[in-house]
Amino acid sequence: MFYSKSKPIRLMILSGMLVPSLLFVAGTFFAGIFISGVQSLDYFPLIGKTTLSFRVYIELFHSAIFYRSLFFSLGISLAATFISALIAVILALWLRRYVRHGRWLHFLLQFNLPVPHVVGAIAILLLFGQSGLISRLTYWAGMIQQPSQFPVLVTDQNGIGIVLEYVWKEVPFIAVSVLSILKSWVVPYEKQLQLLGANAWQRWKLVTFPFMLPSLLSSSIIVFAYTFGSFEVPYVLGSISKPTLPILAYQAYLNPNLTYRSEAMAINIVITIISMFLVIFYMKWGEGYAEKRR
Amino acid sequence: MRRNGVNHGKSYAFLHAIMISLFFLPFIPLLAWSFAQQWRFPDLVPTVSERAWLYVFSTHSQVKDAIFNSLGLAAVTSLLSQVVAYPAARALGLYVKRWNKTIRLLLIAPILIPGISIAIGVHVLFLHSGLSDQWLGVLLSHLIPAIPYSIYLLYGFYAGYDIGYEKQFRLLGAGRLQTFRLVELPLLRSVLSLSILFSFLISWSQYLFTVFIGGGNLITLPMLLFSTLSSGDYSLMGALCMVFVLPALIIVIFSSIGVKKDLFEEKEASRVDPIV
Amino acid sequence: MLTRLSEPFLQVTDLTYQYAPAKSFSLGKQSFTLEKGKLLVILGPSGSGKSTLLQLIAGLLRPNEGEIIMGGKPIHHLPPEKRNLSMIFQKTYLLPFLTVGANVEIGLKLKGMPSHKRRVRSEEILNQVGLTGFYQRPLSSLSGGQEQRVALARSLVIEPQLLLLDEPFSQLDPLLRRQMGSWISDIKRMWEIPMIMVTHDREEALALGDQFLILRDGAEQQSGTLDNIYYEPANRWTADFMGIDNVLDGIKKGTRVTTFLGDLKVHPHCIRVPDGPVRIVLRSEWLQLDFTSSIKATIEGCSFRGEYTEVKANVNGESVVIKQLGLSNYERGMETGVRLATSNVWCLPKEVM
Repeated sequence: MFYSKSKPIRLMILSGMLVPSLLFVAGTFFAGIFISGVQSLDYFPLIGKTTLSFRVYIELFHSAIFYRSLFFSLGISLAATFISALIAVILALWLRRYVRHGRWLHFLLQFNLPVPHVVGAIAILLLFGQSGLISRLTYWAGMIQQPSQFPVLVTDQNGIGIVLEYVWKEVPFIAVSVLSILKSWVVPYEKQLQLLGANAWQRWKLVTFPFMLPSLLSSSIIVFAYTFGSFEVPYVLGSISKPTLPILAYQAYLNPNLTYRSEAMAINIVITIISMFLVIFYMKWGEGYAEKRR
Repeated sequence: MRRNGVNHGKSYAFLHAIMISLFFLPFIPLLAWSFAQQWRFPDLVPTVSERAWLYVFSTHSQVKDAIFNSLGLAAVTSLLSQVVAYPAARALGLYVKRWNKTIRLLLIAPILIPGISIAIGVHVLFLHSGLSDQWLGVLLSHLIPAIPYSIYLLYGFYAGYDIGYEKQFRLLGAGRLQTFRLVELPLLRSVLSLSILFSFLISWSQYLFTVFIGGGNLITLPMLLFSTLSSGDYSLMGALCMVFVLPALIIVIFSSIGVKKDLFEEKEASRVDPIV
Repeated sequence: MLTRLSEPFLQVTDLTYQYAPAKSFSLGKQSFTLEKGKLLVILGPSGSGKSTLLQLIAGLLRPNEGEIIMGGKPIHHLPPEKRNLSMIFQKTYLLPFLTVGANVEIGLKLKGMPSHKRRVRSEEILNQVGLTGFYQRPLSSLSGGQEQRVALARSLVIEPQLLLLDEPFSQLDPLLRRQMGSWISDIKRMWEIPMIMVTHDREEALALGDQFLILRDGAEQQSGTLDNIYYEPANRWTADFMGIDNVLDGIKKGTRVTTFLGDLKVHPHCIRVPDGPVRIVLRSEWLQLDFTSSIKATIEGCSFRGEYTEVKANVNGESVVIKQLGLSNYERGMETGVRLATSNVWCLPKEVM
């Protein structure tokens, strides 16, 4: 774009292109994380606390509630990611047999991608609640007589409703990214292998799966990261008595007692660090593979 | 390759049924509730009433203001994020070689860091800088996830973009702006419109940032939805959900039309494939 | 060259280019001139800097030093769109969302020509490249060769003063390549357009070029006319690159050189090569099998290459390669003779090798 410009001018133009976004991200996102970090270390000059201490973290790492929330969140994310990935792969393998109908099926598949999670959560609530649609259907099927006999699937202690919503929302996401690989890359390799005498299972093991793995992995990491930190879905579908980690941070932050503030910030930092690791995994595996391929 | 016509058709129909029920089923109770007056437990069909919809569309309800607020906020967010993201994505995709991955990591990180962490930190920050409880503060907070998302999408385009098109047109006598208008923009069009639509959607469905930074002064549709949720008015909730989903639906239809028209992408895809 | 009275059309002087300082590759000082209606071929293996040189002339890269004067005016400080030249790349870079006609006339549109005039000009030029009636066609209906011709039409319609070709046909199949080559020759003749073409294909280069510049690792190895680079390789590397199969040892003394093929006359331009051990470079097509020849040879093997047969023969214990037109079948071990079909040979001093 600036072929005839000299090197210093090119550098200036380039930094002019990058600086606005870097400045914005630094001035909002990173500044916010920084403030969280500082306050989590018990630094509140407004109320006279000007020394840094790890008190909050030490308390946090000895708190049973924190660990319960952490493992609850991780468990939900793991379950949601694993189930979504499994269903998505099966769906993608099934879908790719219908290349001719690709457009309509693709449309169907993409249909709930942009639907906000809150809507999905409310829909799950109305569908799987004890007086929800499924419950009514089981009543008419004669399986239950009262709403209370229907198993507790939403706002439950096990997070089943939350996982259901995530699976509903993320299956198409993973399936779309896997399908795009299956459609474009794999077929000639599979044919090649078939000519070399590989059966269906060997083809899957040697070609199909290795080829879809990078995109499966990168989309799964995204799903895990998202479900781990999501606020809206557990807010709608979770039980108040058993909060996920983001909900715990939210509750602590909104607590009128200011002593909880630094606890909220510490939880925040824990969430951020875990997510940062996921981002790095993503850059390393997910994107790395995709770039090599190109 | 339709060797097995009958079987094929059956399994196709089955697949269809599964997909439709999987992805559309959750909307049924929402839609039904939006038209319900009362819907007691064992009944499969509610007693019908348009109350919720009438309220949504009435001129003196909060809903209208909330829709306008959400629309305005989303539109401005979407446009601003393109303005900031476009040059960064182009620079990263085409010119910046050193530190490229690190810069991208820093720029894209806000997408993958949970909203609650960002929202709390940014809330405290904005409280200090006087940006909270203000329209501008809310707008800035919506840009936090929107800009990285746009950079992510547009970077993907530029990473696979063949700058040769532009070189060729400069040599045919086109200036920088003409090259942009005649070559870059048409090639970028589908990705750019996706980026515009999705950053719109990010702002449109934003709840946490609006409620934290806006402090309740700026009512948007998601805020209304959450307050209805705690009030237990399922009919209104259903209707609001339907309104809330509408832009998403439009986006899906738009993008599926857009993808078909994109001759360039199709050609590139077949070129990338090493064997076929 | 220096004796010419008129200014050459294009004069490139001491052009240098250095990629990012960390990278070792740089293009050393390059100078050459080009007349109207001539085609300069820049030849070299990949990574030799030939494309870099072309991009410097096009204005897509900014030279560190040196100047480019075209038609008497310096152009090295101008952006590419102001240089009034045109370039054809490996890929055609035709815009997929436009028709053939719209692609061809885009350069005219950029200059602000009204649409009816544009259309007349484009149809005219489409006729000339053999694509009559393609104006309204969508781009997707074209074959590879047709696409290249549309790209050519697009570059020609703006009447550039100079046409640059960056391995333009390397993605076409051999038959189309040859066709496109003759198109280029025709256009050069009819339009008197000077051209610079970059290629690594020796055959294509020799068939089309009037002037040559051979590059290796950013440095000029040899430049000159067809005769120069065909008969008079500057060094051993150029000889190899130009496809000379036989390099023989010899002892030079005055105008004669003694080799295992006998006592031969040295090319007049090589007289200044110091006496003593030298290397003789000998094209395989200058050797012929001849039973009556006094130089005896034994056949070591032969393979048919479509148009000629490559025969390996042993002369006095040394191996030589001989090209025979047409299909010939010699048995291994057959006794025959070799005749040299040139009156003199090119020799290189031994230290240059």
